[in-house]
Formats: sequence, C-alpha cells, structure tokens
Amino acid sequence: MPDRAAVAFDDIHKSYGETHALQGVSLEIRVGEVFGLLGPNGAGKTTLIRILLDIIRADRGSVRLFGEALTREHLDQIGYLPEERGLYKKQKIVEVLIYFGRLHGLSRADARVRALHWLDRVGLPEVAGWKVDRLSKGMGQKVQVAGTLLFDPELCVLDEPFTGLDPLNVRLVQDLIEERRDAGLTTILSTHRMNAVEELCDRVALIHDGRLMLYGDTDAVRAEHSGAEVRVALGNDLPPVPEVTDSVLEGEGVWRLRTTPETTVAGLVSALVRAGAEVSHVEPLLASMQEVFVRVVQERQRDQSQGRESLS
Amino acid sequence: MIRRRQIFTVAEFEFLSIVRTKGYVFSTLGLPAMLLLYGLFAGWLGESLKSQIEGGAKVFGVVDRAGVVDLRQDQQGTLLDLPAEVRGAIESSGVGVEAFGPVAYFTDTVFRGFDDLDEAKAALLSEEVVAFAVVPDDFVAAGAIDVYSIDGFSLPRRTARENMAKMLQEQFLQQVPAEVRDRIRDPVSTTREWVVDAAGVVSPDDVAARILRFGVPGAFILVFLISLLTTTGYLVQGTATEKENRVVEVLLSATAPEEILAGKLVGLGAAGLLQVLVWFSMVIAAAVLAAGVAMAAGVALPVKALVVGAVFFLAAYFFYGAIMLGCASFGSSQLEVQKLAGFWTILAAVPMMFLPVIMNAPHGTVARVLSLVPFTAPLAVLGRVALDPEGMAWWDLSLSLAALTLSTWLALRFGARLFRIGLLAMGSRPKLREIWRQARLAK
Repeated sequence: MPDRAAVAFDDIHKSYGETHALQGVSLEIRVGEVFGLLGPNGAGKTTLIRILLDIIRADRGSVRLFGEALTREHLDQIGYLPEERGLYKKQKIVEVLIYFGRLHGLSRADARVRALHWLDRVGLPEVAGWKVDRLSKGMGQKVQVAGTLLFDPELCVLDEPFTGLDPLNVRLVQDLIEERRDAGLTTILSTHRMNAVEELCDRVALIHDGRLMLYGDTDAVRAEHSGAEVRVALGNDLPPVPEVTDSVLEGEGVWRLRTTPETTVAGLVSALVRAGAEVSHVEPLLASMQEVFVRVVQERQRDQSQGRESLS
Repeated sequence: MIRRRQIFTVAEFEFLSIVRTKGYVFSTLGLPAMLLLYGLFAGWLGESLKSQIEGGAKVFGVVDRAGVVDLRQDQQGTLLDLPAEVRGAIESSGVGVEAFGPVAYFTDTVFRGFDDLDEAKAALLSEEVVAFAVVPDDFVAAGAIDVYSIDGFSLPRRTARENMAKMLQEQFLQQVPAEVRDRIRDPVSTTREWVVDAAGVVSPDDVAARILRFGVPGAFILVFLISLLTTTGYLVQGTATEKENRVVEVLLSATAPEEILAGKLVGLGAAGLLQVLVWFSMVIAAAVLAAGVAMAAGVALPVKALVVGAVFFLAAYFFYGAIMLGCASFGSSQLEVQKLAGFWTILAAVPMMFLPVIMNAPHGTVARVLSLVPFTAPLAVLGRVALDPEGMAWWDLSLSLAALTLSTWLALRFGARLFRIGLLAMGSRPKLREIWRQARLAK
C-alpha cells in the first residue's frame, strides 16, 4: 500500500463562539486505506469532515488533498455520506442520483448509466423509476450509499453508513468499502460500530473534545491499549508460574492468561515450558476497539474532572 | 472561485423540479385559463340576459284616471345612447356599436292601456298582463300610483316603478318643445374636459383614455409584483424542502453555498420568468385583440415599461431572492421559512400603498425617493415609466438602476454568507447578533 497522503490535516483549529470544536488536530490519511475517524458525540469529527469538504473553513491550520492545498475543484473527487442525510422526496430516484453525479462532474448520460449500475450493486434495480417517498428507511440508506459511490470518488467519507441497515445490508456496505480499498481508493469511516472498525480500518484516529487522543495502525493502537493478556493452548494442565496472575479456561486446553505487567510473551512461554507445560499455541490478546474507545474517553473525562476539582 | 458548471447543474435541476410540479403548471396555465373561462362565462351570462331582455318583454297594464298617458298603442322603451366619447371610440375601432348590446331602459316592459279597473283585472287574470297600474285622478299633484299583480312577484316592484316613471316622464316630455326635451332627459350629455399645464398650454383631457392609461400600468405593476412574489416564493420553498429533507449537506459537499444560491436564483428565476412570459403573452394577446379600442382611447402599449420592467424584474428578483434565500435558510420548516421570508414580501409591496401618489406625480419627490430605495425601486420605477414613458429622464432611470444594481451585488454577497451559515443551522435558530457575527466572519 503506498504511503502517500490522500488527506493531510495540519494544526486545525475551529471554534463556534466560546466552543472550541477543534484544537490543533494534525493527522494524515493515506491513499488506498480505510481510515476510522472515531470519537464520542460532539467530539469534533463532523467539524473536521466539514472542513475537509470546504463546507466550513478552519480558523487556523491547513488541509491538503492528494498533496495539494484544498480547493473546490477537489470536491469532485470526494464522495460524502453525511450522518444527517436525506433525499428529495418528490423526485424520481434515478433523477436524484443523476443530479448528485452531475454535481461531481459527470455528464447526464454517464450519470444515468452509473446510477442504474449502482442501484443494481446495492440490490435495488427496480426502484430507479420510483419516487423517493416510496422507499423504506433501509432502502433509502442504500440509495444514499449508491449516490455517494456512483462517481467512484478517490476519497469517500462515510459518516455512520450502517445506521438503519439489517445485518445482510451491513455486510453489503462493508464489502463495498473493502472493494474500494482493493481498488486503491481511500475511505474515511466515521462510526460508533467498533466491530466494523476492527474489521475494516487500516488505521484510526480518535478525537475527543476537539483534540486528537489516538492515532495510528488499528492493531498497534489496540496493542498499545491492551492489558497483559495471552491466549495459550496446552497439551496438559496449566502449571502454576509466578508470571501468571489470573487464568480462565476457555475450552479444552485453551487458557486465557493475565500476566504481570513486566512479563513478555517470550518470557511467559519459557516460564511455562520450564514448569512442564506442553505449549502448542500462543496468541497475545488485543483489546477490542470498544475497550480502547471507552478507556481513552473515560481517562480523558477523569483527567478533566480532576483538573476542574484542583482548580476549584 | 464560482464554478459555472455547478451553477448550471443546480439551476437545471431546480428549474425542471419546479416546472414539473402540478402547482406550477396550474398557476401558469390554469390561472389564465380560469380567467378566460370567467370571461367566457361573463360573456355568456350577458348574452343570456340580453336575449331574455329582448325576447321576454312583459306586458304591463295601465288604467289612466288622471288622463296623463297616451296609450292608444302599446309603448315600449328605446335604446339609451352610450356616452359620446365611448361611442366614438368604439365606432373608430371599426367594431359596430351593436356588438356591445343594447343599453336600454324599460325594454323589458310593454305598456298597454285599459279603460277601467275591471278590464285590467280581467287581463291580469287571463295572464295577458303580468301586472297593472292605476294612475289616480290626483296623480299630478300627489305622484302616487297603485300597482296590482297576482302574487306580488310577477314583476319586480322596482322595475315596475322605474319603468312606469320613465314612461310617464316621456309622456310629459311630449308637452314641451322638442329641443328642450333632450336637455330635460339628459341636462349635461357630454363633458369636454381640458387640461392646462404649467406653461399654460391647454390640451383635451379624455377621461376614458385617462382611466385606461392608469389602468394598464396599474395592471402591469400588479402582474410584476405577483410574479416577483411567486418566483421568490419558489426559492424559499425549495430551500425549506432541502433542509427538511436533509439533502443540504450532500449538496454542500459537492457545491459551494454561493454556487447553490446562484443556481437556485437562476433556475427558479427562469421558472418564474417563464411563468411571467406566459402570463404577459396572454395579457398582450388580449391587448392586441382590444388594441383598436385602446388606441382610439389614446392608450399605447407601455413598450418602454416592458423593457424597463424586464431589466428591473431581474434586478429586483436577484435582490429580493438573495436576501430572502439568505434569511429563509435559517428556517427548519416550511412554516418557519415563510415567516422569515414574509417580511421582505411586505417591503416589496410598499410602493402599492404609494400608487395614488405616484400616479398623481410620477416624477415628484415621493416617486423619486421610492425609486432610489432598493426595496421599493423596482415597482416605483416601473409605475413611473408605465405612467409617463417619456417623462422619466435617463439620468433618473440610470441612478435608480445603479442604486439597485449596487444593492443587488451587496445582497448577493451578504445573502450567500447568510445562506452558508443558515443551511448548516439545524435545531434552534441562532440569535440575530450571532447571525450578524457569523456573516461577517464567513469566508
């Protein structure tokens, strides 16, 4: 995967009156990756996305897109599925999709062909001639996904794309995101579904109170915030060793072990072997993104409340 | 930098979206069609009444005890003359006066004399007459008559009284010299009016022509105002729909607010202009049909007003449209948007209140001041030019247009800033102070 930056935010600041929505956020999103933009409600994610889309301007800082300073011409390369979304209720679906395609530089004929193709891709070929108000919520969501992707944007921002979708359609959208990665196209995924983040995102950033709290490879972030837990498969009983502080039998010969903080995986294995264990498999356990999210946000909130107490 | 491609795309979508709605088609074609139907109905009704009047004259008996009525033969009314200037105008148009139908009195009544009450009563019972009147001996002194009918409804009392009075008047007139009769019937049949201008030059003042001359600009201003309000109405309605439907953020991700604003103004303005064009075409078609009468009455089609009107319509539309869109973008529902835009609608109609003043003095101080204020300039200038096409000096017109153009430019800039802020304002509406602050900060 090339490391060239699709998007580079540098020291972004944005305030609304007394509210500091973003306070010096800097991060890069690489070409061809699926990037998870995470954070609790009101963290500043939407503000950052709107700055990327030139809907609002940063008070300070800069945005570069594919190595160039952001201009309106770049908007043709960006697909956006906002969290608060809708369609023109009284219009025909194909007409709405054509309109969205044309706004991104497609000709009417090309936009029509692509609209029909993408309706087919999301499993709704029959709705092209329907008025929007005939669609169910889930169908509407899929049409909006089609509208976002129909011009094959170089960069796509999906804000909560799974809302209102059943598990089958969640899978469909996940497949579409993975296809984009395979095609070398960049996707920014903002979602509260942490299992989807684990499955899809190459890298993540977590924003809280307008600040960047976490940023890096998904697995590295998880590892960084993982406790000392290891899953081992043994051919015999688990012998008592001082490096293991807690153990849970998960299955036949499969143990989940909590170790002392200073114990490495290699150290644990040699201790177990020394104690007579027959070790057939060792797997360091990563914290889930859900755990990472909760831990980071709660730590931040704890720090803030302590700060307020010490001030008072 | 504003991208023309985006403006065109938005404009095309907005134009097609609105012209395909039933409401638009109805108001564009249906409204004039309804007016046409109304005209046809009124014409049919007139014809129908006319035929009833001509064909259904009722016989009214008279027993003359006072000896004032000569009814040896049945008597029926005659056509009443049209005013001379109206008759002249109609005749010069080549249209026969008869086409306008009879303007007559007591043509619906035939008076028949009877010698005594019993004879009249017998005629009443045999339905030879619908009613009869007895003129008593002391009629000349007292002026009272007695009317007899079967049910009291056979002949409307007012008609009977009026027709009887006319018939008696005609009878009395036979006793005075012929040359005096017309003056008694109609003491002042024609009024020749003259106008003396500031230089002392006397010229004829034709009342009918004056009414038409004021009527045409009046109607012109009204159509202009309705068109302006309808078109700006489409604008704010469309924006409210997008906010309600939550489409706005998708649009903003592809298109700058200024481009959306410009696209909407162009697209919906084109829809509005198309509507105006249809309406004016119908008005002009009607005017061409009536051109003979109008020209004879000294009315010219306000060609200069049409040209100036088109220019000022565009300027006014962009001026009001930008402001109204900017304000309306803060509303989150149709109702709220209408409230926010409604204030400007009232401002646009202000010159209508000053119309009598403008008509009296098209180039007076009030008219001039209204022409320089951007909110009132379009209608004020239009009224002045329609009333007195040659009287408005070029510098006067240019000054007004310059003020309006400058204001329109400012309105577009400020409106676009408000639009950018307003489109993203969901939930509670920001306070005026905050809006002002944001508008100044917005880039």
